[in-house]
Amino acid sequence: MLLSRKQAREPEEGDLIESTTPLLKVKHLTKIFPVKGGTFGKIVGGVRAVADVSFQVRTGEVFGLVGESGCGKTTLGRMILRLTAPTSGGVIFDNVDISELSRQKLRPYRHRMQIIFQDPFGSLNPRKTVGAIVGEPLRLSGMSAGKVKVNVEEMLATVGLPVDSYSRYPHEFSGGQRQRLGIARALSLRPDFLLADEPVSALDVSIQAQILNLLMTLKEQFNLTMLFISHDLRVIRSLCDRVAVMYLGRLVEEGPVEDVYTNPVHPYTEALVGAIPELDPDMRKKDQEPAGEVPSPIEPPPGCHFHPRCPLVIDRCSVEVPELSYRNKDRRARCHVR
Amino acid sequence: MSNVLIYNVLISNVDSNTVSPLNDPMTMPLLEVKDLMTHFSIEDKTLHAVDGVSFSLFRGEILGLVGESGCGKSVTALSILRLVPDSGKVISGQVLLEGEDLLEMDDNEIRNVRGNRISMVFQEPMSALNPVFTVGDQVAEVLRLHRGMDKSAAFRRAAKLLGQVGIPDPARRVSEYPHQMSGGMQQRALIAMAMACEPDVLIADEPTTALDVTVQAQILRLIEELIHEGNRGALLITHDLGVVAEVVDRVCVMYAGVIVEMGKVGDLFSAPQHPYTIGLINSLPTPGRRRFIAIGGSVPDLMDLPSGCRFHPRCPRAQEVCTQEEPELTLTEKGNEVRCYFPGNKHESLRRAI
Repeated sequence: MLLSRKQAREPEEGDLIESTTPLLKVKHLTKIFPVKGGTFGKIVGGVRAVADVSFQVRTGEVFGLVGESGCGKTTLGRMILRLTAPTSGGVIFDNVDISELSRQKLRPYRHRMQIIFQDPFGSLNPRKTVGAIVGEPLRLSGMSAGKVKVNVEEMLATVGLPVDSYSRYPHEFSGGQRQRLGIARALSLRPDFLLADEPVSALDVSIQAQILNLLMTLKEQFNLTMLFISHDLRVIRSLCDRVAVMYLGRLVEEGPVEDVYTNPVHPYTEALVGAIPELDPDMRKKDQEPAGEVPSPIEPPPGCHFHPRCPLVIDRCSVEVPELSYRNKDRRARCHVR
Repeated sequence: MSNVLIYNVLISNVDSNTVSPLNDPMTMPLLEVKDLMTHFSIEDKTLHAVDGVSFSLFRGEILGLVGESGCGKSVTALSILRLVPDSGKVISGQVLLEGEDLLEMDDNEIRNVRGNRISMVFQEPMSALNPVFTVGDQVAEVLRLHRGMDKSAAFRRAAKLLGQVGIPDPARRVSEYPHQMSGGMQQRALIAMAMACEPDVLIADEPTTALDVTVQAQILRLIEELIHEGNRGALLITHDLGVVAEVVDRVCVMYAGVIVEMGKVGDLFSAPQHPYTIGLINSLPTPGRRRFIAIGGSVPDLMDLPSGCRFHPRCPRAQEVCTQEEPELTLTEKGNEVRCYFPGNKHESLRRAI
């Protein structure tokens, strides 16, 4: 399904009023993983890992997706790249619904959308040389061997790796250097869109800063649009233009990052921001953290998923799911009380 | 509580006289580590995991041991309890628990210290708990072993302990298996196990790293209460400066097997002196600024350490002398102890240099 760029549309959910052109539109994405049980592995239920998520990523921005473990942020990312098939919903990239495309038709979009993974140890084949790993996407795109080598060497230099890396193996590199390899591989096809799924969580603090700096430099250099998935609220705050907060598969809040952090609407966002350890020991917080923990996604609480932990809970919250409604032209939140 | 007050008074005296609390004859440290060295032999090479570490832990305080992976912070903890894996060996040093050297004890004596006077909480709660026993059994085991309680008394006490660490409905959950609990609840159960014998010292190795942010805050608060109210001491090992700033009283910053800076948490954050400490603090994200001030290079190979100061290849202040001889840990006017020839809180100049 091709949509013309100029086609006039009615505003719909997830649209940003007066926004710049979105490069990526996520529409009502839902993923239900089957839960098997019993002797014969019958499907006895489903985990709604991602529930009706819609948002847009504007061309050239860094969009943050934040939430605690099990909130569905990685599954959402994988569905956007069609690494996991959605149960329902669509992904519109550069005005084309890529969730409907055949493998063949999808290929050019695969070139334009790349990913870097969290684990720099698990995501590089230990039996292949750096040249083979970083050059693989180029070779698959039909580039000649000689050209691949030139391109890979150039890419290695761009991410700050020594030139002699070409014929070495992943185990010869430190964690930070391996993440540079992952970045070189992702950018070798000059994508428009980069999904970074917890790219620095496995790295030491001093190395994290190096890698994040590199990502920001490359974002400018390659005109990238980025979706940055992280549980680290500090990293999200300093990198992203806008942020969406997920809780148990649902988006609960979305908006410009500074606005969301300084003025959270949803009580969960407020709790998350409040739980960031203060770096000034004189400012230690003595106020109460939210009680309890994230419930199991297999049996999420009815109504608003956050209501059992919420300090502002009212009767309605346990019955009715709040809408993700606009609070101003670029803020959305899902809460009955605020 | 009174000891905490005494300690605080001592600390405030320290400020005016610039006497280290470690040299003060009035307080005896609860746990004192002196010149600890733990090396590993790998093939024919020696890995200097811990290379001369000294610190003291007093009652009522949480001492932070902070550093990046491979800096020796976990091996320090394992050496204290003599749990270093076979390829490693404590080469020299003393670990004094109220004056008694743990390294000199025989196997029976040290077993009586572990889990009883010094207990430990590990990073991964799921792998630290035995999946085939109930949580209650595992907490009760400690009590039966060290306190000689019978099975049912120990189990009842276990339920009470689970309640004390904030596990709801402890009477029911005491009979649950670890997989039935969430990560935060498992970590609480481990803390209950560690606190079962009311130890003097709690060693917590990255206790919140595997947990979510909102749960992390709860667990840190729990540890803080248990230590301050019970007048115990805790050694909190972490790589997260946020955790340090939140609960720790004094900090040791480790780099490549040695302590490079040590001081009260307030001083360390407001006026860090060692270029590595400054680099660590600077590399944290700052709101509204997309660039991070990274430390160049990476942590050295512990089998092939640089000459002189271990940090010199990455240090913006490095001079000739730094490449030749390792600096001593020396007391600065601020009361911090720093291992650097050119200490100082030259924050602004460093911002550009690093």
